[in-house]
Amino acid sequence: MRVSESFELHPGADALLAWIGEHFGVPLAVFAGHRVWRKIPSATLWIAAAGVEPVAGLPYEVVGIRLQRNDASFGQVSNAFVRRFLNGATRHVLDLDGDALERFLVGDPGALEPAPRNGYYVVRAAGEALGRGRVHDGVLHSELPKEERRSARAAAAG
Amino acid sequence: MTGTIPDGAPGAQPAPSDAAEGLERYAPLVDDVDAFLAACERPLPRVAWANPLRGDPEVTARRILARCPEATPVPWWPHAYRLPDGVMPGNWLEFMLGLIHVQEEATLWPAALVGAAPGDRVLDLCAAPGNKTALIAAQMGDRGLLVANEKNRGRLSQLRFNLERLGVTCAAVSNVDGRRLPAGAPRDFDHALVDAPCSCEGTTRKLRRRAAPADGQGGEDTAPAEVREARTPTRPTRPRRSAETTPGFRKAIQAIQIGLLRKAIARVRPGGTVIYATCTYAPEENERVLHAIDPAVAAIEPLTAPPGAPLAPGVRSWGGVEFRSDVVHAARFWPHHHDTGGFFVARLRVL
Repeated sequence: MRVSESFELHPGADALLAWIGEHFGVPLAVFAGHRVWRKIPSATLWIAAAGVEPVAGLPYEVVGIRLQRNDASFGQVSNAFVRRFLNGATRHVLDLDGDALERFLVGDPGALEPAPRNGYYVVRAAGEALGRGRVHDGVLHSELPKEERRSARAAAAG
Repeated sequence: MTGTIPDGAPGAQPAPSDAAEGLERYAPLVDDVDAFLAACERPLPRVAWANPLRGDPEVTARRILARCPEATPVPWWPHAYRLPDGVMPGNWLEFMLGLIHVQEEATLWPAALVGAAPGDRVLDLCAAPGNKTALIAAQMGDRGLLVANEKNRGRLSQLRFNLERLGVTCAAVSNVDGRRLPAGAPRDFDHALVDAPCSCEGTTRKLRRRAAPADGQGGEDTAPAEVREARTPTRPTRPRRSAETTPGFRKAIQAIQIGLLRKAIARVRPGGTVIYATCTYAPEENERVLHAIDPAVAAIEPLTAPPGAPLAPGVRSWGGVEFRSDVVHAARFWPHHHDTGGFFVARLRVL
């Protein structure tokens, strides 16, 4: 089934969600009631409620929220997806507070002790998923959108 | 008629003069002209509401109150709080994370009237920037189909930004002229919202001077418009006559409004509801538009006023034109009644 001319149900959705569930330690039930769509031709993936379907005369620009920028079977999930679905992550998750949290929000890299393995993480504060972080050689790099980092810097400046 | 809407609409009104300047032309409709004009000079309070799609709204409501203890609850929308002037919730982490959204109080009302339920199919024909769309998604529990259409491509980014930030997954965004939806398409929606383009006279309190860049470091503020608005201090601006309040503009926009409303009605199943809303006082853009709908196609339903928020009924005539009798069931928010922006809303039941 296609949603307009621009989206089709992603054939690799089950495998991708299984990988995400395993990697971040969330039950697949978190994604229940949703389907994954692939935008054509960009191959970006979008996750939308199961009720989202084609409507006559209304070609869609976007369905639901972006899952990731490509249709790889594993990868770099979007910040919006992290916040919406990965709050309860139990693996590849970093709970921050204090200075480390402040650095993440404003976009400054920060060393972590002990150093986690390289890779992408769900970054959380006070139980709330903030977004995606990338650890490289023990340093956490914020992958929040640039604008959000600016906003955080403005808020920190009072 | 129920709630606090007064019984009986004003009688025949004198035709407004083409030369009438600004908001004074509405004197025949207003109970207290001086209070009305004075209210238009004051900054517009904003409301922050807890997003139930992102965590426990009770917890988020406590976070709002922790940030702003002076915030007062809106009695007719759950976990919504009116913020005092000068508070800039766009800088809050809760805003960035989509735990809260910020908008003007009167604009909560059209979404409340939609009355969407989980699993419904809803058409929001003029959706940007997505404030009401997000409220409808919350009503739907993020289940079903919410088509968020916006004709103006330049406003799509605001719409997408808000829906994504708030974690809305039941929405599909489209970019077409709502009047051009194909004729003869199935009546496949339970509800529709037509928050129509208008002369925006009711938003004069929102007009603001752009603040200095929020990061304090100079340079252009590249934030999406919604963020800029949420973190910008307000400054009242005197209502003024512009091209958007000329008779020619009103005539042109009225044709668009009628086209949008007719198309929305055509796509909603019998028994479904269509909400028509504008942020203008002008009867030409409100009652006159409702009058263009065949009463055999859709009936205008009485509204129950929100607690503590008095509404004024629709007017039966304006400019020498007498409107269909059930336009009195429509309602206006006047800014001096409940310290809101100006707003007009009607609920039509498709027959």
